[in-house]
Amino acid sequence: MILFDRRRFGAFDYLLLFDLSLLFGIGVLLIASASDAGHFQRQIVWATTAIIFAVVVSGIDYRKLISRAYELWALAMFVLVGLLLFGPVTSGTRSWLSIGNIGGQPSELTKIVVILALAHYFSELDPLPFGERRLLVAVGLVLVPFTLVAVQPDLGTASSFLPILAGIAWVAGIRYAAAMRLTLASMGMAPLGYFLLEDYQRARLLTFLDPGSDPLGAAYQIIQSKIAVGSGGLVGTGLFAGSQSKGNFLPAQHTDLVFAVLGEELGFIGVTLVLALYLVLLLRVLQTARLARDRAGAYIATGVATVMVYHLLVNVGMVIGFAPITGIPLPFLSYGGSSALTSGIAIGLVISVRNRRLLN
Amino acid sequence: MNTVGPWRPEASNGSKGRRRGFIFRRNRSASNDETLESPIVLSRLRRRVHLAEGFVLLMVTLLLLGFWRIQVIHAEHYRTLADNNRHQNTIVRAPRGLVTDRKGFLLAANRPAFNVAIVREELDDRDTTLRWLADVLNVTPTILHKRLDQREQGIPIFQPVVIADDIAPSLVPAIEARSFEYPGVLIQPEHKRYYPKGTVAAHVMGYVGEINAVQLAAWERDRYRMGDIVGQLGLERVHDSLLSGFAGAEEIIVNSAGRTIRVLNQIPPEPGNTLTLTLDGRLQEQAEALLKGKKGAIVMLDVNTGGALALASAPTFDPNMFARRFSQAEWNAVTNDPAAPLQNRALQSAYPPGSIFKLLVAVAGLEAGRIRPETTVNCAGGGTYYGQYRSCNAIHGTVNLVTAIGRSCNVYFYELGTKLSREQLIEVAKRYGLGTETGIDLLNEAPGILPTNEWVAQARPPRDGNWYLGETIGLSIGQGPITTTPLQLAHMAATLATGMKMKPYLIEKVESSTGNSRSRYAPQDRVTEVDLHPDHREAILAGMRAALEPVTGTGRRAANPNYDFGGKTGTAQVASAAAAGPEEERPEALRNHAWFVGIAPVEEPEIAIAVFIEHGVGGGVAAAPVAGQLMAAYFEASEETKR
Repeated sequence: MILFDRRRFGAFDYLLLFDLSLLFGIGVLLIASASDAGHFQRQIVWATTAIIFAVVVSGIDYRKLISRAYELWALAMFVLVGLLLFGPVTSGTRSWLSIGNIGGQPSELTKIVVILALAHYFSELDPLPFGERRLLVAVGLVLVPFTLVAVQPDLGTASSFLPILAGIAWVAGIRYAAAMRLTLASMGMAPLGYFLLEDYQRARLLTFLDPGSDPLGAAYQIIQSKIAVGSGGLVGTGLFAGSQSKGNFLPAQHTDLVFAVLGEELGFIGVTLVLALYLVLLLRVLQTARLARDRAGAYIATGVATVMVYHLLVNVGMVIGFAPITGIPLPFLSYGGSSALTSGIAIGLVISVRNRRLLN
Repeated sequence: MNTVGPWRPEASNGSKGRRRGFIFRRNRSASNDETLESPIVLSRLRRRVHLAEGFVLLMVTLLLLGFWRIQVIHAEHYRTLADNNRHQNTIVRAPRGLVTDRKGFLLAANRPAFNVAIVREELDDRDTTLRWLADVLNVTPTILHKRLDQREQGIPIFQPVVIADDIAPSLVPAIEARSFEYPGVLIQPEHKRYYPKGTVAAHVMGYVGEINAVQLAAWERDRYRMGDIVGQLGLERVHDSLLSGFAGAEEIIVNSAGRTIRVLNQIPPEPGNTLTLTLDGRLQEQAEALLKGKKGAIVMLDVNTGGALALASAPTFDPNMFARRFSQAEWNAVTNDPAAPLQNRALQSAYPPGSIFKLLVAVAGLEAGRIRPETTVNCAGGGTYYGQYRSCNAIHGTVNLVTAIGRSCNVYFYELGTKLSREQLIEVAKRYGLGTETGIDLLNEAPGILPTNEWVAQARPPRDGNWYLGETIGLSIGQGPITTTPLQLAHMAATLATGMKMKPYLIEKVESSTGNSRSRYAPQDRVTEVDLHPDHREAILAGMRAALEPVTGTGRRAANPNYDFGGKTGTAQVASAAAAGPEEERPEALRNHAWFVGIAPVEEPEIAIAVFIEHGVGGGVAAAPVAGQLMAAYFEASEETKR
């Protein structure tokens, strides 16, 4: 592979890279405001590394990754099983893997592996509309990592595998009727799922439905987050001047609720700006899906778009009470190395797909 | 890889509009020509991606509308909530007012105290921290664990829980020095009520304690709140509204843990008033010393004002015990003590007055015209009245009113009793304050008993108000259904001394923290006329003086060669001699009560005194010397100040 091929170089998606860097930059500022110098400095390192990863990954031919997708998947499952058996318990879960000083959550990177595996699987199918039977293997590709991550337990991360399947199956041409049946079936499964939840998760779900029920308990986060966002008003209190975040009323304000800090300190204008940046990014990724030279590329872009839309909707929705508290991070903005690097690699993959649309 | 599906590049020139990006028009349309997929597959894929793009746009728009609703439409509402979050009004408790005696010596004050509290949220390790604290405080870790387990119930984890009260001030630096090593350990300073003289005037002062639910509901709503320390007994209780002051407020900005970040606004608390009592601390102390080891009471009043100079009750207690968190064992020791140390015998218990009542019988006889001061009666050591033989304490021979009082001759008053009705005796007794509370600033005053018509009707229903005339004879020497408190008798003596009935009181002056002072009572509100004829008064006082005469006077043991004292002894029968045998051989509970009331100087009275010794046997032996010593102490002290 020649890195400076004229066509490839000329087609490099600067817009996506710029958008991504801008979001990472805003994230670093918000973390600086909501947390301490240590978090701020580490996030700078991770954001920078993530951007470098995006550029490096964009240079890799995604087709090589696709051809090794199942091996990568198997490796990832091997790591997840090992983690469950031998992993250390951090904050009550076995989600953390560390080698020397470097540690991270393999479950984050598993999202990429699942996207690649599903892209591989669907691109090998006949390009014809299909029903449930063709989904069987794909469901297996998703349910295994879902289960392994859910029992860590990290239901938030585990839940993000499911939309990947839905998104890619949709674009791959699942029949409308099958899509409808599956949607209805999964809605029917919801009560069953409720029984599988832990007590605190049920409490979160119930307070999402009725925030006034337990203002100091489980509903605390929803209430405090809405107060933060609402008190920001149109223009916000100004960066570093949010009283909700400065008074530590917001829990997890540099991780899961970082968007509430944005709402409080930069107001509706800031929120609009950042949501616009996400919209540009998502539409650019989906456009890549349309422009891809092969179905595998299109599915990779779709998978990336889906997982990001899911995170955006659930995380930002949670901040204003549209979604229950689930504890999943917001890509690019939330503090955290694993999330940042995964996002960088995902965007890198998309750029790789886009760059190669002109090649044969 | 792409082995499936025919590759048909010629079919790839679809419409430009569909190929173009949703919002980005810069892309080359030629790009599609190079894909490896069939146009049918591609067009389906693109259609579906377009729908996905629409979905994303819709969802982001919905999110934006959600933010619009919260941040623009309801911004004001959430801004108020955010302010409420941060702004907190905290109560700053007012220091309790001081109490001094009439000369300014402190009887009740406040002292700084230190409590150790635990903020559980900040603890590194509960066990290690408590073990360290136990070591510093020199207790076992089990005790601290138990206290924390008990007291943390219902308290949010970010709020402090007190686990050690009132620790020695010398331990404070030892704990604070290592606060970084053991986070979550807090020293909380507070003011505690302190009675510098311990037991002195304990029954008058009472004690303080945490407000209880009943008080909280009944007292001024906006003034008291949970956890307030309020008066529970004595003056602390009666004048709590004068002493407790008004709490101030602090508007502060807090963080989510409730910790103060900044103070915005302060309303300083208004400390309680300083009360100056009528009591003379030194006399009070002497009175209590004189009662030491006995059960009884002493009341000394200023006859010209009604102010109480001494008001002692024995046995006593230390009110400081109630200011700290005391143990159940300590509480039981005080409340279950058969000697009832919390009981204020000066005014909460009434006893038969015995011969003291003869003073009022004399007044009744004089006013009814049945006797004149010079009227004489021959005492042969006893007599039969209404068929019952009644004895005298001696054979006095011919006695007039003055000598009858002085020697406490029963026969003289038996004879007088035959000429007086129960109603006449009761009318005089009431006029001189018996049978009703004096109204001094203390609670649970016993009214005492008088055999009024109502009392007779109520106490003897089977015989429906029957009263034997023989009982009037007993009443004439203070026996029968009549009881009085020491305070009532001191009050009575004071009234006889001046001819003016002054309501007894304890608060001389109320001084606010800003320096405004006022007297508690206007003198004209305290005085009641009793219409004591000057001749009658003179005769009674002469009798009281005669009682202190050497050899013949029953109260001679109260006499002091330097001073002009007068008085009257009394011995209240607990059991009849026939039933219980000679006094000295009886068990204590069956011995008679000893009384003495006195006034001094008789010529121009300044003070009146009542001494009561429970089961003290004889007024002349047990009570009179006590009264004599205390009266002498009064004059010695006032001479000292004059010099």
